[in-house]
Amino acid sequence: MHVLEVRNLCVGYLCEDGTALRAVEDFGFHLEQGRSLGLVGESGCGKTTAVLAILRLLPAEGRIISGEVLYQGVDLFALSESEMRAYRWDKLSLVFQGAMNALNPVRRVGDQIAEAIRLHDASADARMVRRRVAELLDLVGITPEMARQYPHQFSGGMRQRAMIAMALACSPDVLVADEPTTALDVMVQAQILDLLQNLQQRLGLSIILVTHDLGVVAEICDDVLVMYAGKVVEYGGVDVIFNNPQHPYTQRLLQAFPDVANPQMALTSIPGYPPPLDAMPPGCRFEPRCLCSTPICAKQSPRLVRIEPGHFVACNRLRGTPYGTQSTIG
Amino acid sequence: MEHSPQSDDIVLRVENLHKLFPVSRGIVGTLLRKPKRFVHAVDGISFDIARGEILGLVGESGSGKSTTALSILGLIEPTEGDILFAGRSVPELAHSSDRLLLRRQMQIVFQDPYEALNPRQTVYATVAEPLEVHKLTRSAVEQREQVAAALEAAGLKPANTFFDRYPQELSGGQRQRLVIAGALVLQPRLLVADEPVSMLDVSIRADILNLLRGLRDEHGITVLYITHDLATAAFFTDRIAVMYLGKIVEIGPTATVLHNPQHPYTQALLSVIPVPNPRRRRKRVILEGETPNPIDLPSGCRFHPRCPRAFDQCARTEPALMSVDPGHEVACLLVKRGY
Repeated sequence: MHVLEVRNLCVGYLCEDGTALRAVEDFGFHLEQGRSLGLVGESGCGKTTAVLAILRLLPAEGRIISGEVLYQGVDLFALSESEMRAYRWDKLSLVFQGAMNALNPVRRVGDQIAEAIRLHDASADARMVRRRVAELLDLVGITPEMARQYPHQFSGGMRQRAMIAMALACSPDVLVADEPTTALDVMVQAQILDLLQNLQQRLGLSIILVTHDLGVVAEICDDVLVMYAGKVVEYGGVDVIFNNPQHPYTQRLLQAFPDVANPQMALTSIPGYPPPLDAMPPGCRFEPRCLCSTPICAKQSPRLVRIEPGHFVACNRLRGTPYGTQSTIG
Repeated sequence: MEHSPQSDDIVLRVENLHKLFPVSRGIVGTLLRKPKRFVHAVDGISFDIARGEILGLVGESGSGKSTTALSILGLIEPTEGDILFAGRSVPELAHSSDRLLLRRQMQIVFQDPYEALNPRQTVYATVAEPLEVHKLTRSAVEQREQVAAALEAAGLKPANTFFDRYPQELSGGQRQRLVIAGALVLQPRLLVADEPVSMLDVSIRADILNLLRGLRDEHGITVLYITHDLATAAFFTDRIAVMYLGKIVEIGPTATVLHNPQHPYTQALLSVIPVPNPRRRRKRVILEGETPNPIDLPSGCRFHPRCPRAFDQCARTEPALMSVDPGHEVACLLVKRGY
């Protein structure tokens, strides 16, 4: 059974005139226990909106228009807010984007982690909480004595570790990390990625990694989901996405990404930019920037179809079984 | 690219550059006469850049690469050492009546094109302003031509369609092109690009890097490319200098540094750069901890506390840069002089 499955998710943002602009459409994936999924795409393609919707943490203007999020078979969208609270942090937790600045500067790091524990386990006494904080810090590679320090005494990498410790406070099954290494130095980035991989193996965590860095995904993810303008364009195992990409957008994205192991490679960027939310092309959303588009692409929006086992692509040039039917999942 | 150019081909020479910033001791510290302390931002570096060369200065935050750039531009005064630009001392020029000439011949492109542009100035005014400051145009027609040429050289074509636009009407990549056009209009000899693509989306980074390379190829502009990202530096520089805590630890032709890195720090850095191919997942050499603060520098080799190959002598002896191959220099006690 999948630990997490998302089906047909549509998310919109409410405008002043009452209409909703769709930031995410027909979004779906399934995640198994102990695996990691990389969610990639340019900025503004809906990655963060999608993961916030899954955790029901959208900002006030955000609306879930349709879809299901099944955590071990339970539809999270059908729960009341108080029921949802029992899942958030206990089962699924989030390391926020820019997490280094998400800590409260005037409270000790240890106390902030303790707060997360106490909120979800009212019966915990002070000694138990203290032991758990020490355990969590140790897990992420911070000496427990540093629990008494303030965030400004921590370096960027250590603050990120502390945020991961906090996300693990209630032993969740699924950890969503939104750009966990952006703005960190390469060596510190490597340390954090190593930590995430380690946690995945030791705790059997399932990880959703949101990033724009294809290199990071290639290094640590098992599966990859490529998003463009709010839609899934390609989804599959990491090897197939990087070595046999079928969607023109995935192919172009890989050609735009410098590879230190292959510096002679010619880099070509993707001309143009993603469409704004209020002016989505009627057909395939990538059509205006696509080099292999056909006349039909301007009219017909492609469905995500399975072209081989475990490899899904949304492109009018390719045929297959639509994603979401029973035979294509699992 | 030849790495040992004739001296008349050298656009920029940095000689034993040091920059210390004093650390405030506070009132109590001053009254107690605590010793003065300094941040050793740049601690004795030397290198040349030849005409038409692209040199990448690579390092993590705190390595001193931006301080080096600001010193080269004459925006901060070096504590020690000299910078020669076309044979003349930059720190001296910066205080002389010739400083406008210096400003014209060296231009900088900053990291964030969203903040480097005046939101109330049109594209035309942005590019024309430097011409007016330097009194380089005699007539409005001539100014129009120069502005148009700079915009087109930076890839904003056709230029006249951009003249009346404002920065907020441009995409991130176009804004960075506009910043570059503002630098190009003065026909500089040296362009310092300080992380010019790190704020841009991956899909358009290649454009800006290709543009910088094109400027070198077509206009012979020398480029100093400052970055933390070895992968982009690998892509378009001729030579790479790797900095750690205010020192150059390795410098050489880009291909040599990438394929035959000699310094343990360069080797570790290269091993942790994410490679976009899951079939090439490698053993990462992950260094423990983070770059120490540059106030209390480690004794001996400043990298030894984190070095996976350090031995006892490293804590006592500071290695100097030594040639291992023609043009390839490394500062490490493990490395023997090669030629």
